[in-house]
Parts: sequence; structure tokens; C-alpha cells
Amino acid sequence: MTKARWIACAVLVAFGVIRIPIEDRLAADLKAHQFHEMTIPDGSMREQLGQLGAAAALGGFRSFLATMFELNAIAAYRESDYANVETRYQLVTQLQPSESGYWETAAWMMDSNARRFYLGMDNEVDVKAQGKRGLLAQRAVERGRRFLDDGLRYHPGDYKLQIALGNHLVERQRPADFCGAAEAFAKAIEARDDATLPTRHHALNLALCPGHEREAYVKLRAIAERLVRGDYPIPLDQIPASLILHMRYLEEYLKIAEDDRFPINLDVLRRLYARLRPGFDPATNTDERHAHVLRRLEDVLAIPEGDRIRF
Amino acid sequence: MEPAVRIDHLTKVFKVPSLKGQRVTAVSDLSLQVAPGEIYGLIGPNGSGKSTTMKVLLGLIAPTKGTTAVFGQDSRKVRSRVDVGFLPENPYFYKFLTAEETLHFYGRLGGLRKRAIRERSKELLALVGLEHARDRRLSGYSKGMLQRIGLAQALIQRPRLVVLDEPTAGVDPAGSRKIRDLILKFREDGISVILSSHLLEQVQEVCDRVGIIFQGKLCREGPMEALMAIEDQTEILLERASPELIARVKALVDEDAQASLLRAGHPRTTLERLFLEETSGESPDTRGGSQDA
Amino acid sequence: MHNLAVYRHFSPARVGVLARNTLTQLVRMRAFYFLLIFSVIVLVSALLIQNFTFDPARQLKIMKDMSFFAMSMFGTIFAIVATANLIPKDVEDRTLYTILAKPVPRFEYLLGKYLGAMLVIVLSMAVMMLMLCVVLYLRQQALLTEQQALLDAGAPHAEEIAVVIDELKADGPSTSLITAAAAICLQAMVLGAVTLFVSTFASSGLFTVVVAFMLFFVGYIEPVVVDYWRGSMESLGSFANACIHVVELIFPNFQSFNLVDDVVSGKTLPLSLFFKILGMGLSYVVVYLLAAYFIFADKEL
Repeated sequence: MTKARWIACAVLVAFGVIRIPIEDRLAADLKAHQFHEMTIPDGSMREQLGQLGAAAALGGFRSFLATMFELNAIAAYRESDYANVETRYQLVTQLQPSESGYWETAAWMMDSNARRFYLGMDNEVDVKAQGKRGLLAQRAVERGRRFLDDGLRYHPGDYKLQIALGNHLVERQRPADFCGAAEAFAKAIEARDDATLPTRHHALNLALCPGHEREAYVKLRAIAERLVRGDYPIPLDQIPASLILHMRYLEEYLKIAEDDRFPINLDVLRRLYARLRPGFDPATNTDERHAHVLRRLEDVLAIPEGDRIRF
Repeated sequence: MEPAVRIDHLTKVFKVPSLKGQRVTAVSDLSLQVAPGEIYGLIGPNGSGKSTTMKVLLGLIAPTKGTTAVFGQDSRKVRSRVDVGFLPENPYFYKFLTAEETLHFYGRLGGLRKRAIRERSKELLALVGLEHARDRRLSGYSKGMLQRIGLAQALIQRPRLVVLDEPTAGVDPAGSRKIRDLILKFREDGISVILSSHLLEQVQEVCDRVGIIFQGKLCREGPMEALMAIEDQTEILLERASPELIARVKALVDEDAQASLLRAGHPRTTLERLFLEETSGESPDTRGGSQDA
Repeated sequence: MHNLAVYRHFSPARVGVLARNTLTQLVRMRAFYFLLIFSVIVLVSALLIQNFTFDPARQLKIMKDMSFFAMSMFGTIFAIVATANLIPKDVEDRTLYTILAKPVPRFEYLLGKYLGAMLVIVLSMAVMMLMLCVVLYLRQQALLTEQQALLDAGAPHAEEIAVVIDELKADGPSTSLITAAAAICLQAMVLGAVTLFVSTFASSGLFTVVVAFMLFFVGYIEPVVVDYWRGSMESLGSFANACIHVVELIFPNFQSFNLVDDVVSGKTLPLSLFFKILGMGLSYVVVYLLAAYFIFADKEL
């Protein structure tokens, strides 16, 4: 080795000695700003990615790979290949857990799309495992829930994930967990300014959470007053029926004096019932709130017994 | 006056890539000087150390021992290159550049300003006869044209010394004649030239002084006439001599007790003869440098 | 006759001339256009593939991912392949002799060549980044108009549309995207300097390319692996620790320049931290160029 090469080596080693502590500090700084929170691909993930993919995942292409595998998952979804949808989304969420949207989509794919598919709700395609339909659907719901829980571990206060969890708890879980849903929506409220949707859902679920009826009534009434003032992001004719009905139910339940009740135009309620009734099928409905609303509506409008929905 | 080139006891030993760490002495204890305005020819067979000497002179390689200097500036200093123009053997320039761009590039490297380069390249393109091809990329140039743009490039910053390594190698006779004329013009302009060649005919035509280099050593050196003149020989130059006349001359010489006819033919090969004398006397097994492991 | 030239020990003008020459050389090389076409293909496919997703904001993410992927690939491959052949090609063609026979210090030659290659990378990155920003902006505006129209038409789920609009607004061109692109550039520059260093002592261009890719690869993965080991195993043997230190010393840490993944998922890097990374990258460049110079200055040509 020539003298020049020794000098070059010495320069590089000296630089190494100087830079390593600085780089360690830089890495810590980056982590402090939620950068580089990557994980080493574990056994099953490496298997799916292949060696090259695993290396690429570490080498600045995680985001790109996540996108690629999501496209892959969507292709599988189009062919109703939900086993693959699930494994692909597992990979996607592991590659980029920091992207909360992936967790939410993954959960929706499973607890909604896969479930509907296995139940044969909107496909003429014959599900081969006829006898296992319910089981498969139930499993899909559980998988969806797992995506939500895992996602929330990374993003505890995420708006979309909390809303998804809230909906999951009342629409997918049996028996529905209204209190848990109310809590999830409460967390979503904190994530956004003017979060009218979770505010409303929080109040609606709270109405069905034993012991919180009065609190729920105050909140619902505040929303209703905002609606009437026109200070609400949705037009008056699209008022969710559930809002008014839950309020009416709570007024009954809490035995609020007639004069203190929120003035509700019966005509509006009649129009709402007319709109909701035809689309409702108790055999396929999964939203307990929906059923709840209609039942209250029938009570309030004094629909004759014969015309009522048979649950 | 400072000599244009001064080489003092130059020795260059190369390591040969091999397991034993062998070394080859390419140039050994070579000293020579080129006076300002002089045209110096360095001749020798392939592998005799001509190119190595030139590379040391240009600072492309470092001497193992000894020093070289250009107008008093040590060759190891970059500054010494201000006064040198170099044309390597078989030069390839950037093929993606045109002649004009090439001259601009080397002119800027030589430290010229843009305006000076514009004027100078016009001049040089005219000098080397490439005005018609100034906007053509060098990828379309013939070997002779490349050699000429190489010369122009070497001259761009008006160096006082031009180093030419085999300037006519691979160039056709017409092209090499043009190059010879250019070298002769350097003499008129007072530019010193050190050139290497194994085309002895040409060296003989243009050089003031010649050094014969063999196995890294300078074996003979001197002014052209001195080298050519051989004391005990007489050359008779005849014009339109008939074979009969030559036969009669031969007969006449044979009659003389002392004199003998060595050769009858074209006189221009004298340098070649000298060259062969100098370079065939040694034993062939040490050609290409001595080895000291 | 007087010599026209003026000699300076260090002349930025000469470096500039060499850099411009290298830029011209690389630009007039076909491979460069090929890589640009590659990036255009990726951008176009990014546009076509959008119909695949449901979430409008995800469309913008796909575009960013594809484009940054193209930029990373271009930067990495170009930095290695173009730089690896800069010096060998000049030696082979003997153009190096004519250049160094002019009053050009070897350091200027190295610097000029290096800067020329980097100029190509920086310029093409800038073009790609501009392209990305324009396409991203146009797409963002189109999606926003679409969502706003839904909102104005009184479509149901107004609140959810409002969320989508907010997401779309946050996902357009931003300064953090520019920092990510700058980090890719910086990484390419460090890689170029490392490759140039390798090429000063390599025996062939292929050797340089292979070694440079290896250095890059290991330099990228090593910090993550080391971090993982340190985190998972409390007490490593002293031998293993020594090995880690040797690896850290030899291989450049490329992980510092990896900002893309996190920036695409919406994180913002404080400018002060970005400048630290910039400083780190430039130190790498300076040190490796210096090391390259030490070997090149001594080289027998």
C-alpha cells in the first residue's frame, strides 16, 4: 500500500470517529420527530417481501412498497380474493404503520367488504363455503377490529381510526358497545376542529349508554339548536333522523316537562319516517341505532300496530 | 538564460503489478537540456523511455530520482505547465465537442479569457487548416485532423515549449508533411519543441538536436550535423547517375588500397543507420529495461 | 511573444469549465435521456394508476411515492454509474493527459468532474421535482374542485367530504416535499463522492460500480441493524461490539438522508434538523473528495 492510500484511510477513519457520535445524535433527533420509526421486517414479512424487497424496505422505499402492495391488495379486492386482501394489507400496514389511512382502509376492507362478501349480501357470486358463511364473516369482522386496534396503537388520537372504531363497536360488534363507541367518538372530537360528525355520534351513542342519558340530552340539544340556527355543515332537510328521535326518546326517558322539550315539528318527523322506512330491512340491517330510530319514530308518530316494522 | 527543458539525472522506476513486487527501470540517470527556441528530437525504439521522460516533464508521473524543469520551474509544480503545450501520442479528445468547443475548453484550462480564446482559436484553426471543420464534432474527425486539433490545443495559451509525443504516428504522408511544416513554423516563432518519434526521417528534417534513448539511457546526443558527420567517411552525392557510372565509381574505389565503398543509395537514411547502430549493439535480453527485484 | 495565460493556485473558473464540460458530456450521452424517460414513464403511470384507489388523498400519495421512487433510483444509479466512469474514461481516452498537461491542479480536475456529474443530478432532480409539484398541484386542485362540487350539490356525508377536502389541502406540494427531494439529492452527492473515491484506486469501472453499490447497500441497512441489535440485546459481547464499530467506521451512514418515507406520510422535518443533515452530507462529500484527492494526486498516469 502506498503512502497516499494510508493517508486516505487515515482521513476516512478519523472522519468516522468524529461523525459517529454526531450521527447517533442526529438519529436520536430524527426519532424525536417521529422519523425513522421503522421496524426490521420480521420472519413472515421477509418471506412475503423477499430479500430484495426487505432490503428495499429498509433503504428508503418503504412508502413506495406500501403503495405497490396496496395496489396489489386492491387488485385482489376486485376479484373478491379477501384472503389476499388481508395478507397484503398486513404487509402494507407493517411497511408504513405511520400512515393511518392504511389501517383504516384495511379495517374497512375486512369488517365491511369481506363481511358483506361472505354473507353474500351484494354479490351473485356463489360463496363456495356456504356452510361457513357466518363463520367467515365473523372472522372478517374480527380481522377488521384487529387492524383498528393495531392502528390505534400507532395513532391513539387519529380522527378517522377513532370514528371507524366507534362505528365498528355499534355496527359490527354484538352486542353493540354504545359506551365504548361514545368514548371513541369523543377521542375523534379532540382530533379535529369543528368535528360535527363525531360530536353527533358521540351524543347519539351516549344516549344509549346507561347512566349518561342526561349528559347525552344536553349535547344533543346543543346540536339541534345549532341545526335550527343553520350553523351546521349539513342542510336542514338532511337532518339525521336519529338526532331528533334520540332527543325525543331521552325527553321521555328523563321525563322532561312538556314545555322544556325541544320543539319538533311532527311534519318533519313524518317526512323522515317516509324516507327511511322503504330502505329498511330488519333481516339484513346491522345497525342497531337505525332500528332504534325507526322504532322510536313509530312510537312518536303513533303508527298503527299493523303498519309497523316487524323486528 | 534559463533552458526550456532541463532534465537532471532522471530515474524512473515502475512497480510491475506482480506477486513478487518486481520493478522496472524505465528511465535511468537521464540528463538533457533543450535551449529556448531549439527543436529537440528524442528518438528510440518502443519502450525505451521516451514517453516516460515526457510524462515526468509534464508532471503526469513523479520522478523516482532526479528533477525535471520547464523554464526553471519544477515539473512537479502545476505552474510549470503554463508554458507547456502537449500533444500525446494518438490523442483522443472529447468526441462530443466540436473543434471550437475543444479549443475553448483547453483555452479556459490554460487560464485564458473568453475573448482571448476566440481570437486565438480563429488563428490556430487557420494555422492547422481546420477552419472548415470548426463546428463539427470530433467524433467525425480523421486521425490526421485529430492530430492537428491536438496541435492547436497544445498551442492555445501560447506556450514557450511544445511537447510532441509521436506527432505523426498513424497519420498519412500528406498529413505528416503538414505537421512537419507546422513544427518548422514553431522554430520561426521561437517556440522550443521536444518531440519523440521513431520516424527518423522526420526527426532528421526538423530537429536542431537529437538524443538517442535506449533502455532508459541517453546513449548519443548532439547537434544534427555533428551526429551525422562521420570523420572517416565521405559522402558523394550524385544526380542523375546512370548504373554504368556507379559501376565505374565502384571499380575506381576498388582500385584504391585504403578506401572502400560502404553503401550507395539515398542519403537520408544516415540517421536511421546511426540509430540502428546505437540500438542494436546491446544484448537483446535486457530490452525494455533492467530488472532489480 | 508573451504568454497569454494567468496562473492561479486555485481557480473556480477552471473548476467551472471542467464541471461544464462534464455536464455537456453526460448530457450528450444517451443514457441520461433514457433515465429521464424512465422518470416520465413513472410519472405518467402514477397518473393512470389513480383510478385504482378509493381515497382521493391516497391518489396524491401514490403520485408522490412513484415520483420519489423514480428520483431515488435515478439519483442512486446515476451517481454511481456516471461517477464511476468519469476518471477511467479520461485515462482510457488519454484526454486526462491533455487536461493535466495544462496548468490544472489535480484537485481542480477531480472537483470539476465531480461537480459536473452532480450538476446533472441536481438539475434533473429539480426538473423531476418541478414536474411532480406541477402534476401534484393540478391533480390536487382537480380533486378539490370535484369534492367541493359534491359539497355544493348537497351530497350526503358532507362532513366526511369536509375531512377529505382538509386531507387533500394538506397533501399538495409543500416545503417538506422539497426537503425530501433535497435529501435524495444529498444522498446522491454523497454516493457520488464515495464512488469517485473508489474509482481513484479501482482497477476497473465494473469494480467501482460493484463496490459503490455494496457500500451504499450496507451503509443504508447497517444503521438500522445496529440499532436493532442494540435495542434487542442488552449485552453484546465485546467482540461483536468491536465488529459493529468497525462496520460503522468503514461504511457511510446513508440512513441519515432517508427522509422520503416519513415525509410522504405527512411528517414535517424542522428546518434546523434538515440543516444538520445537510451539514452531515456536505462533510461526507468534502472528506471523500479529499481522500480521493490524496490517492489521485499520487497516481501514476
